[in-house]
Amino acid sequence: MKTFLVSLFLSIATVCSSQSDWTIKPYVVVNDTVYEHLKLPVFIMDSVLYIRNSEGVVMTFPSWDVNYISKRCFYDRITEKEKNRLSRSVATGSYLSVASIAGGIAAIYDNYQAYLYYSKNMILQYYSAGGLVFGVALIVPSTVAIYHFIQRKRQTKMILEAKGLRFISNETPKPDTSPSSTTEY
Amino acid sequence: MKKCTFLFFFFFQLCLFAQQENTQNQRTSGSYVQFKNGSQISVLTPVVVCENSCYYISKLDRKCYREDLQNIDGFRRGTKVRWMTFEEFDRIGSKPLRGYFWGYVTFYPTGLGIFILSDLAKRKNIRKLYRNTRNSTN
Repeated sequence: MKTFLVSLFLSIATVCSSQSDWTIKPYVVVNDTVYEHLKLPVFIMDSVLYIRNSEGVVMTFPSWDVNYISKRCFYDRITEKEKNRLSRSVATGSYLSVASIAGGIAAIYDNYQAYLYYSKNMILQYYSAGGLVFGVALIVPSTVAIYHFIQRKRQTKMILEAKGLRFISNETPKPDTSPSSTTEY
Repeated sequence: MKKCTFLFFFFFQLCLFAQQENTQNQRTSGSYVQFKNGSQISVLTPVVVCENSCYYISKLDRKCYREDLQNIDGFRRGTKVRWMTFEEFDRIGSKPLRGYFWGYVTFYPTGLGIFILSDLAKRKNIRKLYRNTRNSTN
């Protein structure tokens, strides 16, 4: 009976997995055309879908033409209020997040040392996992925050590239020459 | 030994901050805007892209410029370019800069002040861009 239940569970899990699009790389369907192997992030802003394909080219589509966005895209809808977040500096937030991660690692290490000490002593039973929980509670939100900071930078870059701007990797700039149409202040 | 380590850390932070302050002019060495006609201009960071315009401070003459995006080809990789809505540009440009107190208070020993002051230095440049070019953005 036990074996049967385990087999049934595994079968259901396999079927669910194969039916869902979690196993397939991020893709979107726009106007019945599939765009596969996308790079994250995928997001919608001002009714425009921004995607970056595997060659690194940014493409935009009106959101009403979008038929489907796969789950692995973790797509984000940027609202009017959230747009302003894209332009804000992440330096202070990054520092605090990294400091939190360092604190979390220190808390976990310290608690692990305490665990080793108390596990050898049968009389002292003061070990508590509070430190571990505290460490994890520091690390997880900070990691998520850093991930969001990185995504924010990527989104900004995609918006700029979608406007036709590009980032040039040339190391030797040419001499300064002002274009004639520039407005000076 | 511990004292020496702290002193070393403090001087390291001081050097970083000095570099940051100086670099509003020099750290951006290599940052440039490239135009469609092929010309390039060395700029101070951050470069602001707002609506259909690009705002930048030329490294050569320290003046603010506004350029239509259709005339711009791109930026050097690594140039700090900020895309922002006009509301945000207006907010940063018109609000007074605050936070210097906390920047200096948290400067030592945590080092957090460096990042706060770095943010403030960038905002100062954005403010300068806004103030010098706002007549044309309204």
